[in-house]
Amino acid sequence: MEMTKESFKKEMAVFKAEFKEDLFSVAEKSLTLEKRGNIGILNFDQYQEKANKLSTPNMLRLMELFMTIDEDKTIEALVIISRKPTIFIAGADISEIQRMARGEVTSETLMKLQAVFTYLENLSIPTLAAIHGACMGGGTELALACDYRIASDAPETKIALPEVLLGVLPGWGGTQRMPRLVGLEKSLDLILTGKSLDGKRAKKVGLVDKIAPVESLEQKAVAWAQELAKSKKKRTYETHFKDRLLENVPGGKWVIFDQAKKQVMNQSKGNYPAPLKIIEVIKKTYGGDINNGLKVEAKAFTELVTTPESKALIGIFYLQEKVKKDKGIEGKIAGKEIKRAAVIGAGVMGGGIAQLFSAKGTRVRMKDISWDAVAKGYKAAYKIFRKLLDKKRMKPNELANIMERIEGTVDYSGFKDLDLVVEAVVESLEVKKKIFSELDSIVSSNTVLATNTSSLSITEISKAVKDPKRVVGMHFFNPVDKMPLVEVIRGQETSDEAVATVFQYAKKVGKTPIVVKDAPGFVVNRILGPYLNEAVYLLLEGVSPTRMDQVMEKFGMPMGPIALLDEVGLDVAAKVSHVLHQAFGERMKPPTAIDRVAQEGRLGKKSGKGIYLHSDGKRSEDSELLSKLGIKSSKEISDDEIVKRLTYVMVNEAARILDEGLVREVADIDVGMIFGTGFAPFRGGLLRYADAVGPDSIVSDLDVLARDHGTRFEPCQFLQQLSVENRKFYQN
Amino acid sequence: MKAWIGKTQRNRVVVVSGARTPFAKAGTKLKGCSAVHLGVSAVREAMARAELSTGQVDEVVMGNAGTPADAANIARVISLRAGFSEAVPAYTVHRNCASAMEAVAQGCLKIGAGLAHTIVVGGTESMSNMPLIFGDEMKELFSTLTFAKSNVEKLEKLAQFRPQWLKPVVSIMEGLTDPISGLNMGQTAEILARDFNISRQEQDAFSVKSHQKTVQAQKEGRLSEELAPMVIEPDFDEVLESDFGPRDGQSMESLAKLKPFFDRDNGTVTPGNACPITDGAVALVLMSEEKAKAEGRNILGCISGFTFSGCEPKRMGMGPIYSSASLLDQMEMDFSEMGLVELNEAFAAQVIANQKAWSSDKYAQEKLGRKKALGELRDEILNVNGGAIALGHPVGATGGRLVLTLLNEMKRKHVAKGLATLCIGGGQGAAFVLERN
Repeated sequence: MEMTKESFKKEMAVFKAEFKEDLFSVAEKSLTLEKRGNIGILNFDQYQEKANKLSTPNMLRLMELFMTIDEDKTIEALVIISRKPTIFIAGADISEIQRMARGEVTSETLMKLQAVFTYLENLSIPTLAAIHGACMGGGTELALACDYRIASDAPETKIALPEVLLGVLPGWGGTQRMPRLVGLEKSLDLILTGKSLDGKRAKKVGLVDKIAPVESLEQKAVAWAQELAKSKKKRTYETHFKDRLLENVPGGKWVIFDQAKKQVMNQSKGNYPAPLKIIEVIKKTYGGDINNGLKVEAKAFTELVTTPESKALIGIFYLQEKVKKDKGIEGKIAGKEIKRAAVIGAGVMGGGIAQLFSAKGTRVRMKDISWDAVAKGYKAAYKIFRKLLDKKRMKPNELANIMERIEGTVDYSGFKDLDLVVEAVVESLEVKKKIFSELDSIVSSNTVLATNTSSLSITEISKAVKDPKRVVGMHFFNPVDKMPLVEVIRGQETSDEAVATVFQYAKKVGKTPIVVKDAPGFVVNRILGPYLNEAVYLLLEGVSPTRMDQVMEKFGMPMGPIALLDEVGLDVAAKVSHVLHQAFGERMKPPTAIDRVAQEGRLGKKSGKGIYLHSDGKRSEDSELLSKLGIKSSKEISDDEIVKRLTYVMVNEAARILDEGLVREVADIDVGMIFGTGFAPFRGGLLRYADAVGPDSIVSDLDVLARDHGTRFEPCQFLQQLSVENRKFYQN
Repeated sequence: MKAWIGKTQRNRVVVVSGARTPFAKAGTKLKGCSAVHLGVSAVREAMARAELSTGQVDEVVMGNAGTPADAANIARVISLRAGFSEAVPAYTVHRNCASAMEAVAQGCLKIGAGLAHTIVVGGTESMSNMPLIFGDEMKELFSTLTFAKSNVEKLEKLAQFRPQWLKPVVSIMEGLTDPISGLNMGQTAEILARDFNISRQEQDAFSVKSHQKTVQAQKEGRLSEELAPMVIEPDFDEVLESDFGPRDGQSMESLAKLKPFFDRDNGTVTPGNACPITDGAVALVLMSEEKAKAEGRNILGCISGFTFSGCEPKRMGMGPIYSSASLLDQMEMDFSEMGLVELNEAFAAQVIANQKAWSSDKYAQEKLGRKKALGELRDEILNVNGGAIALGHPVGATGGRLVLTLLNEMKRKHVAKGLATLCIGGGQGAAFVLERN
């Protein structure tokens, strides 16, 4: 679609009639044109906002400026630059995407916005984007529509097309202009993963042409523009043979697309339409007429944006934004800054926590009872850092700097001047209380004392210290370096300051925290408890482990329940199941099989056999075990029933957690499940899924299951009420 | 120089904590640890034991003799890696074998003068990692290849290359050779053995005792107080909790098997009766007495005086007696007041030579300008927990160990005054008097 002056003026009139004129005047203040001799400089500095976004008013303003530039023959080259300190352009306005999702904006409108960048691309003068800071989505597409790009080498500079992470695809020409610039393989990689490239890497793949230090970015961009103005060079796109070997071989392109599709299916089990659509669009349009390509792209975008998967992913994006702003408490108490910390216990969790803290700049005293145990902690930390070094993500001197932050010790020396202690020893109330009472007499009164316990009561542990207000739970998940969730547990006496401190520090070290009141299992383990129990019941009723795991992976779990049991460890699972049983009664009663399997030394992946046999990273069914367990193959259980039995017990338990007021809001449950277990993000979370199914449908299914399989399925009061009142978990 | 005498200073200087890494013979357990890492390990433990926060320290001074190529001012690197803020200044000092002592001296000078209240001092050495140096021909070849403008010039130079140019110069050997006398350290020990008529047997017997005393001290846990165990880099599989070098069961027979190293034909000094090349680090926290008392801190001891003296490079081993005599004179103390002595065991011959000179009026008159001998440097008070022949001598760190180990033993034996003294390659001696209440 071409934008002519007349059609554009019409658009402006429509826009101003539809929306208040104020919006456009804000755009006028945010996007301004400056002339330096024969160079035009388009400055983007969103009025009274931290970030530059490509809202519709901004896009219209850009069009207006491009037309002005086109008519002004004294401008012989154009530089587009942002005046924000760490953001080039953060992308489109997500609320506008949501409006598209509600069907309020059509494919034609999208094509009009595409036309703005096409107009930029077709300007007769050379155009140059000077990029420093975050350059995402639409921002990248704008840069791609320029002839040339120069980026800063600062760490803040990250260039990406992350639309796939919101369940859509780049809709302003990204699927056309990225492959044309960096080649088929690289562009598929970037668009399918949404990953960011820093300045150096972007230059390496050809996404940007030059790098400069941020202090001289503008100066170098303008100087380059002046050269380009003299030579009047517009960009031509050639295939760089050596980078694009595969796609130039006959049949090579089909191999690339085929591989890409296989990878996507493997990782997403076909649950995400966006990556498949992206492959389809690029396959259809690569190397062809760009105007046709843009049309195909726009159509695909409007299809994707209305999918439930996209809505779910955008919902998760907003959840993450909410967590960013959250302090963990009501009120204004700021958490303490953590400069020095200690970890008690250098085992898998303790060592992992020490590694995490040190990686993020905190000095950590890592204490265990013997030097051998301390050595293991160091070794585990070194392994993680070494991987980064080998991937060239870290330099040798950086590794040395970071490792020295971990200070191993077998006594309490160096504990008087700490901001935070995290205890991560065995799950024994007695041992933990002893340690807390020791700490109480050694550390300063300002030190926050946290425990990583997964199954014990924070309130109980806090009784071992004089001032229980400073005791809080900081529950990490295994492996600490990879699992994003931290459950911050508020004991009965825990102060707001302790909660705020740990919550904000968790964010500082890159984790996603939720606040939970002290109760057995907190959120994640409590919800997984009945899920894992149910998986074993199904196993005993004749569902094979492989099938069950396949069904749940298709549902969207990163691994199925039996694989998860083996991963967590049958001994650990058995222990937790007993804690939950004791706390919550009959409905949490674990099948005896879990204990039996654990007692036979089949502890799971860590011992080579659990329910599966594990060797060389592969798992296989153990027919010996299955026959030992005396499985009664009763009637055929459908995939649908498997999913219902496994997921509805989770929903039921989550409802109880809400009813008991253990979390601050419904979304916290979903944050916990997504970031603590990887629960199908494309479903938006456990309770979004429950809402999609409908509480009343869940309640009636649970009633039938209770009748057929036992009281553990009985829907709780909270769920029943939702059903009766025709309400959902989420109110919006 | 005139002696520095604590009680004439503005502030008295005390040691509030100290720690050292285990020492290990070069090329063994600690070869994978850089001098920086050793230094950081010692410094952070000394800080932890003092329960000091890094914000309370005024400066960091570390001794180091063999500067690593990638840590030009090693004290600064150690300081930053040990968690001190960028605002805390740091510098490295070199006085050969007494580099750590020099760091202690620097701390005393500044605290004594009121320029600082708290200074972290010490020393570190990784003799395993001392560089191998290319000889002059190779250096010239590299230079030509890098800087020559024309390819012709480069090719011409390349054509001259001989494989023997690749033979490295072992910098350690260079470092242990005094350029003035042209003698290496062992050769100076041979001179003393001849001067004082010290036999091979005497030297070997001394060495056996040194090992025995060290092993005994290890068994009785007398060394564990100063030690900070280390998890060994780069694999983190092993933990080193005690010094690696002392031999339980060192005997005259096994020593007799060794050949003299520095004089093949007539020598008596062997690798067995000399200190081994060693890796290790030591750190001490020095504070003004006023501040330490105000903060209710545990005080290990007070540094009441020190001096450095010069002597003949050929006979550098006599450095201890020169500096000790000078110091005691200036402090108006008699040697008999010293309840314990740490005199570094660079070579058995050198220690025995000092013992003999100590009680010799003749030596005192001829060399020290004194009428009477210094006194009797009895075995009972000398290096009671072993010495460098067993423990090793990481050049830049040893001085710190002598101070730390002396203070700990003074505490155990309720001794009020002690002397720590070293010979210094190149012809110097260092002497420190330590006191406890």
